[in-house]
Amino acid sequence: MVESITNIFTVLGLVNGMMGGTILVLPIIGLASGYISSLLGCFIMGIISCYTVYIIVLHIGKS
Amino acid sequence: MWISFLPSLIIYFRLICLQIEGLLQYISPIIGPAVAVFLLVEILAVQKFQIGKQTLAYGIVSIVTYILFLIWAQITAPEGPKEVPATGDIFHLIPALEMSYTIQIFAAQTIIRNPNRNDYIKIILQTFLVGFLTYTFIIYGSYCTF
Repeated sequence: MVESITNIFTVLGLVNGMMGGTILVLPIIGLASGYISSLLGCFIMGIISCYTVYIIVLHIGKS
Repeated sequence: MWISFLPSLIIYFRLICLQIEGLLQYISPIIGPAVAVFLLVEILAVQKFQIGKQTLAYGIVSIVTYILFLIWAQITAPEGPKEVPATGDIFHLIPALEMSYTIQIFAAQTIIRNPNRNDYIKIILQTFLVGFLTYTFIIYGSYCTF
């Protein structure tokens, strides 16, 4: 039987999987990118990734 | 499916070796084999004691520790004028962020364990909100530290 998890632990599990080795290089890359470009890049890439996961979740709902 | 993980495994293995080289301040030919042996022993131990989930869960501790390290770096930064440009080269940042935000490969396996199907969209939005805030903090973590 598959163990069920609550909403907060689902979010924590997904965030835990999201944060990888790239967090070590992001501060240095962000320094060269500038503070406005970094913020915009972070926001836009977040929206794009969020939308792709949203499509996956929609398909889970149908299956 | 598992073949798609091979490039990521190679990249992360190299990253571990680079981090150890950075800590030791020199390049040694035994770092790669030593890391390989260590990881093999760790995999066998995780398999034997069935502690895969617990091992993965400890990842959140490393994230919190890293954020605390960035706060410490800000507090103990040397005095003096420091300037960060408003805009710059984003061609390294965008691919790094693309990798950073990737949860597509495991999102389905994780989220279907939650029985509240009506909350899935909310969970995804909350996950990316936490991710966006954390990554923004991490990116700004180096500003004014040197």
